[in-house]
Amino acid sequence: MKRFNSRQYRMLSLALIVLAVAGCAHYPKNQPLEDPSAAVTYDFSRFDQQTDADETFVVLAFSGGGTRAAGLSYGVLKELKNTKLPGTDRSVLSEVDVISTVSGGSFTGAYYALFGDRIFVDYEAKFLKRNIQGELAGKVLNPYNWFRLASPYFSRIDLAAELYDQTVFESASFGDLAQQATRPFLIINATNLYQGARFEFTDPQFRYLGSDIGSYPVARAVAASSAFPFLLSPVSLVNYAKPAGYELSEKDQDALADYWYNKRSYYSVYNNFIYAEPRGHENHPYLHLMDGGLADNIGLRAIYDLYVRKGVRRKINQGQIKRFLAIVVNARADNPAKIDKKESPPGLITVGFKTATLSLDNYSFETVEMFKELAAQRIRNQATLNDCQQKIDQHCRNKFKINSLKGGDMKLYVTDLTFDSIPLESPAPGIKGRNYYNELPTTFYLPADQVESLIAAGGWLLKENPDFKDFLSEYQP
Amino acid sequence: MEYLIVRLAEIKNRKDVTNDQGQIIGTEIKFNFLADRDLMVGGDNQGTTNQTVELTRGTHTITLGPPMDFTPKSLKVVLKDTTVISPMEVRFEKI
Repeated sequence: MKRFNSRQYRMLSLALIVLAVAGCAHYPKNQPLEDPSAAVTYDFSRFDQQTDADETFVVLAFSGGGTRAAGLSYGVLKELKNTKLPGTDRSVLSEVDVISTVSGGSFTGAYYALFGDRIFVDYEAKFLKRNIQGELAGKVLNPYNWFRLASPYFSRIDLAAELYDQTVFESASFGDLAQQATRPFLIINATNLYQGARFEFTDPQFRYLGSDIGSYPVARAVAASSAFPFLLSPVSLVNYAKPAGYELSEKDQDALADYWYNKRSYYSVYNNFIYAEPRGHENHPYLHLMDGGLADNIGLRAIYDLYVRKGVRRKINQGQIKRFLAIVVNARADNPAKIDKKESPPGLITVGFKTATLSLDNYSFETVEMFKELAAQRIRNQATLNDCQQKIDQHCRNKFKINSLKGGDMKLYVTDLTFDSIPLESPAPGIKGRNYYNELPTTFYLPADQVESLIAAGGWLLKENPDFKDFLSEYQP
Repeated sequence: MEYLIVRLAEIKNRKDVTNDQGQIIGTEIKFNFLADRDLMVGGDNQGTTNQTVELTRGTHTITLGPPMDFTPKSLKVVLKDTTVISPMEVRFEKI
């Protein structure tokens, strides 16, 4: 029998040690928050700028949809950069204050928030035109990673996060974003599998977990946001015991009293309170996050929360915002129905897919309409106030003045960009007909020509949108 | 959304109200509404007093910015069924 020599024994031992270590692989944990009184790191309040700079307040919401969504949102960013605010030499892009993202849209939003205009130089090569899912499959098929994947604490999503961290986001963390403290403020959205609630990667959200977001990699947040069910696995977070001195904010305590008055406020806090309460770390020691699209596939809920009760509400009530523009980039693909062309009912896979996506699409539609109605309500109220005062001035002898509304006559625009707006026939050179875009799959690889078409479509959709045209035509510096 | 206006007031004049028999049946108080003060709702600066602000329906803890020369120190209200023409009015008194 052949004997191993000492060198071969050393090589074999080394290989076994490496494999044993690989088999103990663990996902990178979020870090505990040591001092609750420590200055807030990644929060919108830290991204404040001189008050008159918020007169024009622009928010973007980038939907999920894989590379299709990433390409479409990138096309919108390009068009915003190329569009000047009338009467100024500033681009509309320079006025973007908040970007809320889901899944595929998170790649574009995070890249722009981290690297700014560099996105227009290298993002297409670094992400849009790469075969990301092929590279991910390659990592899964690498025998070294089999031993890592054998660990119960390391899974496919961790491989994906490593890939994004090393090759797209350059190991950037939320601490890097906080240090930059320059707009836009980025909100990456995932879904908490326990309640199906939205989970946003911001300091206030992490504080509910007794955790500090500063050291958390942006790539892991993007991975969580785009962790498509079954294909990828959840991203896990630790819920730590809260440090001494931690307590819920006054606003949160008020919201917990609102079960009968305002269930939206109540549940938005309650869903976090179960982690933040004194025994939360015992009852719910971990969270598992998946694709943000499961809770909200267009990223508009984060904008809604900012508008009604958080940073944007504060600015409206302080009279800082004169015009508010929301641009919703929805890369939903409404695949032309083949199921109703057949006499036999659809099979299990089609029914399963439709079950997963139908309610998601309906919810996205209702969210956009709800937000449009919120904006319309504000405009109506402003008009009502002005009309009432005019009537009083006209008909009453005493000089009675109705209390004015803080924020005055704000202008609001909600711009909703979807493939539905594209005609069936190509409307312009470089833009395909509607069905072309609706048939693009939800993957993390699209051929270069399809990516180019999406970028062109994003720009065309924005340029042709009536609400965006109104915003530009009514803009006065 | 709901509507709230907060005032900081000082008493200008206090007068007993009597009936025909000369019995005191109440007190008439006239206030001066004072200049704008920072308005704090749930710990956030939400504008100033003397103007209507727009907030969510439900419970809000209200106080004013410094100096702390008013009473009560804070008020908890439930905002509901208001309109922009008829906001809920909350008053703090200068001490």
